[in-house]
Amino acid sequence: MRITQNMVANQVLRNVTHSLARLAKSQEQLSSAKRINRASDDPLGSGVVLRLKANLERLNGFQRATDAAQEYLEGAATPLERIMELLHQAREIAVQGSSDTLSGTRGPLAEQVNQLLEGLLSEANTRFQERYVFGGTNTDATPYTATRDASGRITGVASNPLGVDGVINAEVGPDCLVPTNLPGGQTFDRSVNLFEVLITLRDALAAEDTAGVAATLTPLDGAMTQVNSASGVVGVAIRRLEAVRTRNQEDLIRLESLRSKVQDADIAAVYVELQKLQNAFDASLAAGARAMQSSLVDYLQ
Amino acid sequence: MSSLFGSLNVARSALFANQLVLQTTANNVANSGRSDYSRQRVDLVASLPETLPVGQVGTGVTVAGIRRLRDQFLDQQFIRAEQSLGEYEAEQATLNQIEALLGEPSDEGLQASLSRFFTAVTDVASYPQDYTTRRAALEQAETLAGDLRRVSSGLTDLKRNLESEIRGKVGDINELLQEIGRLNGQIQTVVVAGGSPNDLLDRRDQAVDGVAKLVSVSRLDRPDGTLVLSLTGGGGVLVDGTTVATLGAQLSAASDDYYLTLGGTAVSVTGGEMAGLLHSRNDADGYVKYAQDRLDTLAATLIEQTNRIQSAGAAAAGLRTAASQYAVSDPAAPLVSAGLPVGVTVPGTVTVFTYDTSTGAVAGSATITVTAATTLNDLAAQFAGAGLSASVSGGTLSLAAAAGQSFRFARDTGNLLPALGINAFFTGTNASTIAVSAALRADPNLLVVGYPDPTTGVVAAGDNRAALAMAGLSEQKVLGGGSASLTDYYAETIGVLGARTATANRLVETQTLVTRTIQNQREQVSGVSLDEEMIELTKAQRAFEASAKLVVVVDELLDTVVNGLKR
Repeated sequence: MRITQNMVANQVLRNVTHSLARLAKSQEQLSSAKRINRASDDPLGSGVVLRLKANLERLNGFQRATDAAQEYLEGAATPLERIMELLHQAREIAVQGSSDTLSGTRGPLAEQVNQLLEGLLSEANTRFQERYVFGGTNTDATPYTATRDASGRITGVASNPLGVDGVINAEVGPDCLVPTNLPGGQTFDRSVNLFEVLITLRDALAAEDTAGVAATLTPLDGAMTQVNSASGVVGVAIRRLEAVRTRNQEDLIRLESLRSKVQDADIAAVYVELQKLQNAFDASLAAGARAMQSSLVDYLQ
Repeated sequence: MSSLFGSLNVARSALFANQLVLQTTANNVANSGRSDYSRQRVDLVASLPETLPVGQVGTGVTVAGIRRLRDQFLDQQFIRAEQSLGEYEAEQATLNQIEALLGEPSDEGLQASLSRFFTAVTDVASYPQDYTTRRAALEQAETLAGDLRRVSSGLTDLKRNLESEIRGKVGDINELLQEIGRLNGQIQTVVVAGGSPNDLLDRRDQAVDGVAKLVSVSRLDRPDGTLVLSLTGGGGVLVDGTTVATLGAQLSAASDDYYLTLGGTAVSVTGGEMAGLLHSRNDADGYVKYAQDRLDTLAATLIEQTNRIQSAGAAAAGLRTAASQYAVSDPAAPLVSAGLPVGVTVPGTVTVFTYDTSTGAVAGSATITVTAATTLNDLAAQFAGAGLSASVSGGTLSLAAAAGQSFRFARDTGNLLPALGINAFFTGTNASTIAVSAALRADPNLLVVGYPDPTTGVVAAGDNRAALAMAGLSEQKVLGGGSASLTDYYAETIGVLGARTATANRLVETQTLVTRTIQNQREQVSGVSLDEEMIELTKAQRAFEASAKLVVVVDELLDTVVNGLKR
């Protein structure tokens, strides 16, 4: 086989460019810490990475929705506690007022119940982050409006005619809808109308109607059960959200590690590979420089 | 009869021959750096011997010729290898550009924009009354639309670049063809006169090689020295003697294909860089057109699906005006056959509710009915009956609420609103035209969050069903006949293009190796080895010196004869 200077030169050039190209590829993997930097690096893997990234971003969205839903539910939990407290006080007053030993002094008790009633109305119209908590989907309209007599006392409470029972859902997982609000009716008017009980109690106390006061004890107990179960619903929903968040968090970690496995470079392996390629590159440069140095011309005198 | 003068003649022929060897060697060395140069050798033969009674005696050396060392078979193989390499390289360059344009997988690509858009819509669902989340969702939608437009216009630019490259190469080929035609004429003149036009033949070969690198051609040599060059595969004659055809390139308006013409008629070419460029430009199965088509389908689906939710949903603010964005071909023609990009389902109905702007209360409602015979003019009349002012101009419908009123749509069973593009989320029909509706950009409160009550028309501020539905589009299988989500579809596109690019990269690598191997084989035959030339040089030098010495010896002998015999 004839070997010419051009062949040697071409060979050296080819080897050096080839080594350099592989070195550059390895260096790209190392500096980006990714095995797949463009779709052609691994077409199948690229599709997988894209889908995983979409899933990851979707999960992030779910996590944010979960946080928002929890905020709202906790926004409902606080007024429910205060309503419970109100009902406890009302029941104590009712017990006190139904006692026969107390006579002619129920006026202050009636006044206290009136205050509780006002408090209940204000809790029913609680706003959290600009939304009426118990307004159903009509979060921008006052859910409960009182009608008052000439002296300003509440004679009745009507709910928003557009409805207070609409459910607002949040999507916290694929096809996983969780209610983020507690419909007003469930708290204030399911089996017992809280406002009516307090109005009856107040009026019975004002009228010194012992029997009438005693008759409110059963509905008051019912009211407390009703609020309790509403609190329970909120509590269950919050716990469910926490479970969803944990599951989403686990999914996030799992998918992220999956993505990393597909897309990220094994740094140690790439580093070793880079060192090998660096050596090969040096060797091809050195060999090239040596091979092209000598010629017969050097020895002809 | 031998003589001293005969010996002098032998020495003279040796001096002359070795001088020629020296010059040829010098020429080889001088051209050693050129890759297309073939080394030359002086062919020396013994001169005709002189017959003496005692036998034959040599009369020196004669130059038989100066020969180029070249293998025609390897030359042909090399051209073919270069043709394939050119074709693959052109395709690889296009695919690499598409890959760079899409830039996936990345944290900032189209997929990221798409995902972020859906997350932003999820935020709207989480905070249905919040203006900021609506604003943010629309910003994300604009980023997404902008990304789609950017990639789409990049692909269009790529197409235009390929076209101008094709035109440039066609120009190159035409110049080479002209030169071949001219050389054909000159060669014919010399050949007919009995000469051997080596230099002209070399130049013509070079021109033919130049054409062959760009397109696959077959050549036919005629006895008069001219050649016929035609496109491989019966594509047509390019050059015949001095008759030269002209290649052209033009765009087919019907199919959006770019094709070559020869003398005005379309021709197909195989092999070479030109074939690679034409594949890249025209093929619908994995190059520019494929990417563009997939993105257009993606964008069209996104537009249709989001518009379906947006158009019949309830936004915080009612509509004061609305106009259709897709024009019908004829306002008096039935909508089903009026050339709308999204189809209308008939029969269908859509409810229009009007609201008092100051109180927000429902002022009235009407049902618009669409049948197979309904025209845009009919629709305008129906909307007018619903208490809106409606007008048709230029194939589009414009609606406006009465003074102090606004309106919303509900329950669009016939897909009428997205078909006309009324109260749209996105405007446009494909990846190059997609944009967030100007009305939405001007007032984010027009972004739908919930749905009006279908019977009363009442809008609840906390209702987030429409936003949930829009966020749910991210995993809904809306493409490929219900088999792929938007993400799936896009990921598949990237996968297909990535596989194409990987294949092209591999092909180029393999073909480069093949080309280099053949080049090496050619170099083995034709390449100049400096060491070899040095040895030739030394040989010639020594032979020249020895011949010169012979002259001296013969001279001395003659001196002996001439001057010695005188005494």
